[in-house]
Amino acid sequence: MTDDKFEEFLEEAAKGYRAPPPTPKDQIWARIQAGRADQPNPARPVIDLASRRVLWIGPLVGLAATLLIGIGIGRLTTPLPPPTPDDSATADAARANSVVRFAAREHFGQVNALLTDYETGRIDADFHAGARGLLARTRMLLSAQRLSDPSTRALLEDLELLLVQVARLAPAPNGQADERALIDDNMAERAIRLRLRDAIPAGPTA
Amino acid sequence: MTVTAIVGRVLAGDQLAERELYDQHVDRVYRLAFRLTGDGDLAADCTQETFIKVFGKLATFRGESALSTWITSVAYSVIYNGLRRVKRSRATEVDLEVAEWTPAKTGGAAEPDLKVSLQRAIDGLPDGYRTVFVMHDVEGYTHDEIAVSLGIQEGTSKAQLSRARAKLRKVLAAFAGEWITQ
Repeated sequence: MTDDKFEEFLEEAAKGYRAPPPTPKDQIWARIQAGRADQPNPARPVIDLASRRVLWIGPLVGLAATLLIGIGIGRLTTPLPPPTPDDSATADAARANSVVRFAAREHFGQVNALLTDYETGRIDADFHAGARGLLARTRMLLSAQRLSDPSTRALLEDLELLLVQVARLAPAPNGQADERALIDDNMAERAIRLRLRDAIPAGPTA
Repeated sequence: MTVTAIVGRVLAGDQLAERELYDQHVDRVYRLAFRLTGDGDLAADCTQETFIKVFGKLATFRGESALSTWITSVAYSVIYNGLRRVKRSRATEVDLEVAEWTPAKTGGAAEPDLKVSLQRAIDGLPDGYRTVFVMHDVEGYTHDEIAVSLGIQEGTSKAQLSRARAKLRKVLAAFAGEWITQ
């Protein structure tokens, strides 16, 4: 048996793998329209606001000033009810969670930059120090009690494993082939770069 | 209409252009979603979510890759997350060992044939291998498109495909005579 023969067979036979039915185009389109109507910021026409700024900015500033004065007077004159323990605990949890998520996003950007260095072969002492630092920070984020977002946690767990491999990567180019193959497999199988790209605020821009 | 023109019209809020963009790319997205999930409802959900994201993020498309590749990149991200959610709720992944079946010399009605075994073997591939295999060998994407869509190097895509084929070949070794004679 030859590789070519097998590949020919595969290419032919694999076409029947989970053969898709016709696309339900109109149904999906209707759902997209409904889904976008629920979005907080659907795409809107671009309007040249600069040309209209002079017309509406004056009344808007007046309105904002009035509102601020009103709020100030209200706070001074109206005693607010003391927050219940539940309210303050919920607010604290939300604040702490958003701080952890912000730190995680920044961290993902740094890991992404390190992986770019890895892929371009810029592996030196600074690279290893950076990998060890990011590994320590990954573990610190994982141990944060307030990290409640499951996808962020899952990505951090996968990064921990990857950074252990990367931090141990031998500096000698000849000794790296097997280790790099393992790291490449790990990155591809867990879609690490894609998930990082999604987790970093700019999103996919390729 | 050129890609730049259609993108510009969509960004300007032209709903006909939105539908045109959708019509141009929906089959490709749905086919990939169906091949990777094997579930019509989930494939439709993924396609819907993909286009909502595409329309929401279209302003970030800078034309560094083809629009179809950029859309595939968004689609794969959605499909990947969809599969993760499904896997968490029901363990459906077929272990590769299950597909590693040896046909009896006498044959029999209950024994899987080569095509059934191939399907099981593909199902049992690790996710990364299966994705590259399905995109390249089943849907006909190039390694360049796969690399950009999955956020990996082109060489990694080639290596993953090679390893996927090697695993399939090993699992299907018992059928060697059949593909040689086909």
